[in-house]
Amino acid sequence: MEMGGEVRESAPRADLASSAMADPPGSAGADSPPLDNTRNAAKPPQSDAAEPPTMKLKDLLPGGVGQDGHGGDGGDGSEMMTVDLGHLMVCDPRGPHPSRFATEEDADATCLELGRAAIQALAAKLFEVPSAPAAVGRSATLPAPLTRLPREKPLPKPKPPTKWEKFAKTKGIKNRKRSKLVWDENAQEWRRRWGYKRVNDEKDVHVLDAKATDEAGTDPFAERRKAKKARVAKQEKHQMANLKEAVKHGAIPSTLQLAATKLPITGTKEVPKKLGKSQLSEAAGIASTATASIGKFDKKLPGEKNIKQKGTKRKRLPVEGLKEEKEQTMKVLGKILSKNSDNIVDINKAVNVYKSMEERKRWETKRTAQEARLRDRASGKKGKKGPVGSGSTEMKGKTGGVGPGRKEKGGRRSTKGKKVKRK
Amino acid sequence: MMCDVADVLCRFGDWEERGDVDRLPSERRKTRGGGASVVEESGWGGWVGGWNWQCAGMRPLDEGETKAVFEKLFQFLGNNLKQLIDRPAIEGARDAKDGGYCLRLHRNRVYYVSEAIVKKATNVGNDNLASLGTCIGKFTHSSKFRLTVTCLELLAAHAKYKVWLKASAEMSFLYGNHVVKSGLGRITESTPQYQGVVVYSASDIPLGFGVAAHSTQECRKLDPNAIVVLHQADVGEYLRQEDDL
Repeated sequence: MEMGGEVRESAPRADLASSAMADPPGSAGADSPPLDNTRNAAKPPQSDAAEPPTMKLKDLLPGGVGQDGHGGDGGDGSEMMTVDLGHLMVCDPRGPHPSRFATEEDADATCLELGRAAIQALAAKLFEVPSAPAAVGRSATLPAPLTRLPREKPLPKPKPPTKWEKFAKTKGIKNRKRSKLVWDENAQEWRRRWGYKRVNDEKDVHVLDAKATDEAGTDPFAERRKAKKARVAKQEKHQMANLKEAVKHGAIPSTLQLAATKLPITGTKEVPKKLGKSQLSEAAGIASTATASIGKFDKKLPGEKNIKQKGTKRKRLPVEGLKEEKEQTMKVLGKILSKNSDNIVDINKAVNVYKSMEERKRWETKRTAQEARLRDRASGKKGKKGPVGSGSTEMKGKTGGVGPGRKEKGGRRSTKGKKVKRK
Repeated sequence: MMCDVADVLCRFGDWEERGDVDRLPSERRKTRGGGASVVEESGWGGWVGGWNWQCAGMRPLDEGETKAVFEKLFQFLGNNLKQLIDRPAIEGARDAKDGGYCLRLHRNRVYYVSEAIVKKATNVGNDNLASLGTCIGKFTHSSKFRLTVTCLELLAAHAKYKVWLKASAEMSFLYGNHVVKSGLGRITESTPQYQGVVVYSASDIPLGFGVAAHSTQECRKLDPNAIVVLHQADVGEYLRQEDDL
């Protein structure tokens, strides 16, 4: 009945939308109902019933996209979109009109436009969700999805009734709820009805009364163990029979599906693989050598060949085969050298050299500036001595000489060995 | 003290230990082997992992073994490793054309030996061959390669990074201790950390080798008790571990 109301309603809504989009009403109305159903289930009913003809589409939307005015940028229809944040899904309930796909360019433009509007709507909603700063950007918890997705796998088939269930049905036996715990008189405490530390456990009885029927030489405890084993075996047999029945109906429990081929429940379902020639010969090889003498003294059948045993044989170079060895050696050597080829240049040393060069250059410029100043002063004082002072080749030579001298000194400073040598 | 490089050492002594004095080794082999190539238990020791390593005869290294050896040597020699492999043989060779050096594995030990000597050594039975060329190290039970002190001469000739000790620290190093900063006389500039280094005495005699615990830069700032070179082998082992070498 609710459905009916909505379908009725969808027509005017579609009209409204179509009038905005200047589209004929029929086509849009045909597209919208299936989408509307899910959405309207979530929206308050009174708005549904109150004013169907004049209602705006955005008022009807469950999340109220665009209600607060944040959702859309007006006109492009992004505020009309239905956003399901849980699935990060956007729907346009109106559906595009076929006329907008008339030509190829139109179709492309429409797709782009619709896609843009959808992303716009999604982004607008997404950023309304409260978020917290995370390691990278911000993180927000999405609300639960509104749209229900169909189940991927088919429903499991019902299990056929077990033998006991069939029997119980004919006898009218019904399961009644029994408590898991039972009062144990001997132990004076509550014990489980079944399983580990169960009530009235046989294992806890350490002395058995002799019976008149007991035969001499039999161990009543061993008998007891044997009986228990027999009971377990019988139950397992019954379980297997029930599983076989379930397999026939294709209703094997999911917990057993993987193990099913190993269990004796699938019967003859699995086709035995046909052995190939190589596999047969391999099997024959294994069988023929599976004797104490590794098949050495076994009688061969007429036409039977010696079967080659597969095995990894270590290949060794000859003790004196120097040529192959040389090749191998050079190969390994080349690998190791090329692996470490990136450290041909000692970067630290290069940096140090560069630094010292820079320092020296700076020092030299400073020095020449100082000299020039001195020269200027000297020439200012005694004009005649200027040219003599400008025997600057000497000075230059001196500065040039000082540089390396200094470097040498630095080098000496860096290694302590020189000191030792001096000792 | 140093292992005689040019020697192929044979050992006949262990026949006597078994009370086979009256028989010659060749006779004894007849009684044992019966013509088949038998890997037999000898005085050298036991079975390891199903394969009698101890009795494995002399053979070239396979690719994995060569790699293990070269990687270890590369730590000390760097690109000089190539010279070690490529140089013409001195020992046993009649002229320069007589070939270079190669590596041979004999009873877990790796020997650096000239090709001429290898040829001669093939005349000696595996049981009787004790050593040939220079032993540079051994493969451990877990197939890792360790350098032994006997390779010191080779390392010292081609080493890239060196450390010189003060005279006061020499004895301590020769007793198997690490080198501390206070005992460090001199170190090759720009030695990186964990670089294999050869240790020399103050008078430039190679004493052993080890691994630089710190780079040269860091060494300058260390306190006097800090370890600078981690000990790996020293010539003191010729006395201390004479039997194992």
